[in-house]
Amino acid sequence: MPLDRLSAYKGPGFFCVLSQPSDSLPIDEYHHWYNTEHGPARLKLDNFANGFRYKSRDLGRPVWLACYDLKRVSGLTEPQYTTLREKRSEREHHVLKRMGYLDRRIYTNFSSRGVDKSPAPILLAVTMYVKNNRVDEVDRWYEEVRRALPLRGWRCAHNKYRSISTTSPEFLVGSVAAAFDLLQATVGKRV
Amino acid sequence: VKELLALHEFESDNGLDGPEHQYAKLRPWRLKIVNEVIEGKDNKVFDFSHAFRAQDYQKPKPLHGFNHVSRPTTGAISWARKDSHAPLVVFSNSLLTDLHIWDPTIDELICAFPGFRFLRYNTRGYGSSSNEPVDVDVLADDLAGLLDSLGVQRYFAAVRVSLGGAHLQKFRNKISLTLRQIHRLR
Repeated sequence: MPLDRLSAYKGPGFFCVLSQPSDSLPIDEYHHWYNTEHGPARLKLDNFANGFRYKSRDLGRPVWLACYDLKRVSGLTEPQYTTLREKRSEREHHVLKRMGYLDRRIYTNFSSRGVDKSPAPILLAVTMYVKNNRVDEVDRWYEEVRRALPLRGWRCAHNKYRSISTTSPEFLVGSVAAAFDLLQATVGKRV
Repeated sequence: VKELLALHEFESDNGLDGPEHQYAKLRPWRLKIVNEVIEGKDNKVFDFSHAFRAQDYQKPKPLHGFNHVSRPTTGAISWARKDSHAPLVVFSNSLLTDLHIWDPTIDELICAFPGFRFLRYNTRGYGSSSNEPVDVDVLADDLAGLLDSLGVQRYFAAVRVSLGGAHLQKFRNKISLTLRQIHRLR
């Protein structure tokens, strides 16, 4: 979905950001900024239903995921949000300059199943590239798996469409896998 | 091709990668999906770390890491220990640069000399400083004003590059700080 059509999408969605500080950004400073300035400033907006941070488990150098449920995808084009990005604090500028990797992703909701008691202790994020709009088939399969072979400890699943990427061009990549490959290659380098 | 993200939420105690998961991965319908319906997929597991709350918002504090002091000169003070009396080292940058040219240096110095404070600042026209005609005298006065606003009466050492050196020299001539005082600090 192009950016100009984002404002037309009034339905709920999902917004997540993958990030990793570079060597010149101390981890405490990164977390302090994220947890006391950046995240809370967003949760003050009515459009952000919640906001959670997760840490990658399998990557050598951890990548941090910040994810938010949006009441309206179009809220990301409203002044209350865009102002936050245009008028960043000096500290935020200083932190972002030293971010090693940053990838913003916006999704629209497709289907949900199970009981949502967010935040869950563990998140499994599966990105799929579905041929010829056979998304319904994938969705039916998910429903069958849930019914016939529920995994121990599974709470719920949310299927979402990737609608737009606002990542800087260097990180406009085809897949999460490619993004993580790129990430491994750029670890320690500034962007 | 459509990109579909499936977010599965799990309890800490779960069957991920266990025998039931392995069994599920070999079911015919799953193999059909993987082989025929999707072009590629990627799995990543994340552990919960933090929940944002609006009430946790703290306006960035002036003396925490990055400091917006006073116009027309803005600066940043960095230190490892919160001791406002720790000796101060002033970094003055060259023409066409802002205070961030010192960032990698400061990071290392803070680790090596935790008992010191390090000040770097934007001269007029750089960073968020004002944009007015400037000469070496003005820059020296700006530094005096900046130190004054920080309550700093003396500094331990000054590190300078190019134009930074020129106005620091002017500054030295202007303030009452004598070399003798600097030696005493050492």
